[in-house]
Amino acid sequence: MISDLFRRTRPRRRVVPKLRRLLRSRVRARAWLALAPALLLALPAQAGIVFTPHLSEYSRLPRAPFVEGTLIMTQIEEIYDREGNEVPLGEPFVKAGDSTDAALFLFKYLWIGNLFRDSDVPILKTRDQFCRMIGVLGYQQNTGRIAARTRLFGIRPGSNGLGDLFGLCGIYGHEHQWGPLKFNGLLATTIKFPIGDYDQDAALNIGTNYWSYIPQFAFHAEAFGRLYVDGTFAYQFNGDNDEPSFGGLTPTRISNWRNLEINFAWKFSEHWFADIGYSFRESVGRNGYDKLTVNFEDQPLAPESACNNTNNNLGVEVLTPEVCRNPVTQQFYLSPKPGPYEDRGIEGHMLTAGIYYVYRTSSVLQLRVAQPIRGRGSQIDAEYYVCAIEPCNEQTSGGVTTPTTLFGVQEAAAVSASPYLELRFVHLWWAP
Amino acid sequence: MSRGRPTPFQVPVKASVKVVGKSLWLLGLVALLGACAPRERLLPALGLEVPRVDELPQDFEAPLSAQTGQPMDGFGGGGGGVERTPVIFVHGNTVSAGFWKPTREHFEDAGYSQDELWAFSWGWNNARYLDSADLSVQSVQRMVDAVQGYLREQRGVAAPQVDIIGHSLGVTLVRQWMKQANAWHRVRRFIGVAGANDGVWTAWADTRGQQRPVAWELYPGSPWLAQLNRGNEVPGGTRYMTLYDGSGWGDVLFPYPLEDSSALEGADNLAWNREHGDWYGHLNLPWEEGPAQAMIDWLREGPQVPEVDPADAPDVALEDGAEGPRLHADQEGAQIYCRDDGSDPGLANTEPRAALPMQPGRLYSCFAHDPQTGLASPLHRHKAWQGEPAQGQRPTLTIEPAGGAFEQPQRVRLRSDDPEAFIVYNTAGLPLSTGSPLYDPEQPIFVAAPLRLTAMAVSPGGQTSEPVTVDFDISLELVEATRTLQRQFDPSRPLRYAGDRKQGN
Repeated sequence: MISDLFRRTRPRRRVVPKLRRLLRSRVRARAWLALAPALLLALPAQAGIVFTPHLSEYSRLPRAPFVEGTLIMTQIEEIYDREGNEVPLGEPFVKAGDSTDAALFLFKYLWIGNLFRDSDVPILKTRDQFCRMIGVLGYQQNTGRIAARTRLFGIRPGSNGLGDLFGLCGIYGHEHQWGPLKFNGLLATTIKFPIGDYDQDAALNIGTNYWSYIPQFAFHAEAFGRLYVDGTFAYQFNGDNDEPSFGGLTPTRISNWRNLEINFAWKFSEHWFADIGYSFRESVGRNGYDKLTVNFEDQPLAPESACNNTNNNLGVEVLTPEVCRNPVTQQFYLSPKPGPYEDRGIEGHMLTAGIYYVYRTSSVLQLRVAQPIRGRGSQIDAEYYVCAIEPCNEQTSGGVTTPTTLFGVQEAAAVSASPYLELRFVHLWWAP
Repeated sequence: MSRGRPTPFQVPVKASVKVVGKSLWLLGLVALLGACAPRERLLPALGLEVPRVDELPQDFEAPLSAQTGQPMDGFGGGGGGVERTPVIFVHGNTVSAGFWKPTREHFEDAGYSQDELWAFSWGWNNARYLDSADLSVQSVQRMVDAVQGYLREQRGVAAPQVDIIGHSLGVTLVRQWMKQANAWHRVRRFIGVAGANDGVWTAWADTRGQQRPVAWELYPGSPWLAQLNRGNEVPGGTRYMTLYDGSGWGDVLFPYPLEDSSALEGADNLAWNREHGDWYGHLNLPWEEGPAQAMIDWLREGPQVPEVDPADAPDVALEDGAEGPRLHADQEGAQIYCRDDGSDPGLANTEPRAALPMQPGRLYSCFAHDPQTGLASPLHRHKAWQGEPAQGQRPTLTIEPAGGAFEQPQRVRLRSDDPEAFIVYNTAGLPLSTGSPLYDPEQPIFVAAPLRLTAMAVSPGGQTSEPVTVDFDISLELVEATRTLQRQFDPSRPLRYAGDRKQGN
């Protein structure tokens, strides 16, 4: 079989040395293949959004069921690369201006109570328990030229539907008081059930397709009855994703994360509060990409595509017209080396600011803006086989490869540099 | 598969797993909703007993809660004898007798015995069903009866009076009980901790749902509170103390301008946080050492009366003398406290006197008090004839509206055919006396809960009408909720409440 394949490819072998020379030219380092779609992104740090603390998020709230609806809207026009630079989405392959538009609706149901009150069960009898379930509905769509470029890879540019399910239970600590300062801690564990809609052929997915387990310590403090501080440290263990989407641009080995968040709120009256917060998320180690398959759908590729992709988008002539018109490069095929690749991990820093209106004791209406201030996204240096014939692989390429830098996509890899807007409504059942 | 790094989950999410996952989603949702069911329903469904504050003596017959119909759990009677006036703790909304355990420790440290410290879970103990003062007046009556009866029968202590400490809703509840039951003489000292005596900002007049009764009671400016406070905020033979935040920032229920809502005019008011620079909150205020010690010190004042025979309590006597009728105490050394302006006398703000001549046509509200023992009489009302005494017929009384089911609170008017008669009533289904709340024709009775209104007219000279009793059913949601919860104890109870819905007037 192998020899047969070798024979069939032999007639085209004459092309290869020229291609090799061509591809090993100065453009090698320029990622000329333009495969890197730099398309994000799907809900940057979805889990980060879910767990960004709000006013009194971790205080010992009344024993009651609460419901919460949160609408999050963002138009992602910039992302962070691995150097921490803000990069317009899609550049250099499409002009800036298009975006990934995303809207998330989070439905949260929170129960606080103490099933063991008045009992003799140690620890639990005096410490309230809580459970929370978070369901997600999402809409995500790449726009304009980004969507068009996505289709070059045979990838759907967006997806909508049900997101992953978050289930959380925990226990409050006792409240401690030193003069005007009150403090309580809590311990909780969240499990993310990967039940959300997930399509390997989509550029954006509502679901993540991997499990997460998030132990969390949080605290709430109040000073002088006016200053409210809520903070948390969470460590997120992430499972693997053996079915990456977008041609393997979602990591298969997702690194664990650590989250650190703190929120300061000021009480103006019983009805009005304002807050500012800081949220930090960092991967512990590197993400791994083991199943890279992203490729142009229509092959073979004409040499013009290489010239256009490179010269037009970089704005400099790196491929000479002679090369572009060279008859030996009438057509060629590309095929990625599946991996393994690793990125440098991701990091995100975000500031939030919001106002709250408390209607009676039962309802809270909140408007909040989150602005990323620093970050680092996932990028990998992938290798593509360059072949004159199909199938394109190591043998048929004769070892000719070209490097390219690809952005990782979705929440485990991409970090948005664009702000998002959050509209939140909380209702306490049974309140007067 | 793990490739060099262990992960907690190695679950490839294939299609079948997705199906399982979505099933888990539904199961989880159902479980969470189940967890929100009342604990009294959930735990029995799981074959478990609902935990209770089970610290009452075996031989103690627990009184029934007027709201739940179930025996109240609680603590007290654990031994140690009775040397002081027994203390009954009355908790607030949505909690149980267990609320008072931290406070009990301070009292025990101060020498109180378990026989002297009592508490009962009088409400639903569930945030889903807020409690109500009007609906629990009889619960307080029963717990006081039960404690006094137990100490009398099992400890041989008469305990004619008790001290009561109420917290939050427990404050207005106890005050309402003392007023409706004319029971001030049974309470030596009363401490109201963080009570909504002038309202609480979390209650609203147009509240919907099961919480309407308590919201109608306690919203700032509510007619119910006006009714409770009318005619003296510290009436009867009881001494009053209040303990509260006062800063407007410590207790989130009483921000400005309600920071002094808990105070009572004529009481020993202690705005603890404001005066001591502390920041105790609504719940922990009575748990902390300083406030608890202040309560203990205040209760130590005055005569302790555990072993005085209730029969030794003084009373008000009416005597027809040569100069006309006069009121006086029936015991040597006792005094009477009287008012003749329609308000109620109180120890703290009424001048005591040995005797009081009655003026024709005036209504006197009086009680007797013995400063030596501290015992007092119930409140009595007397009216002298203006002119010649009428003979013969008893007065009659009409109530409008004459009961029924209503969605909104009602203003109820009472009318007697005898223009000289005064009218007394109560809304707790308790026996009437002349010392029951006095009806003011200018201020119709505010009925804001499912309750029983009983009233009678009293003519000068003391002739009374037949008591008239009507039932009001306000807040259909509460009735439905109550029946829903009670169905667990009595499955034959109809699922749906079928009361007639009428528009309020």
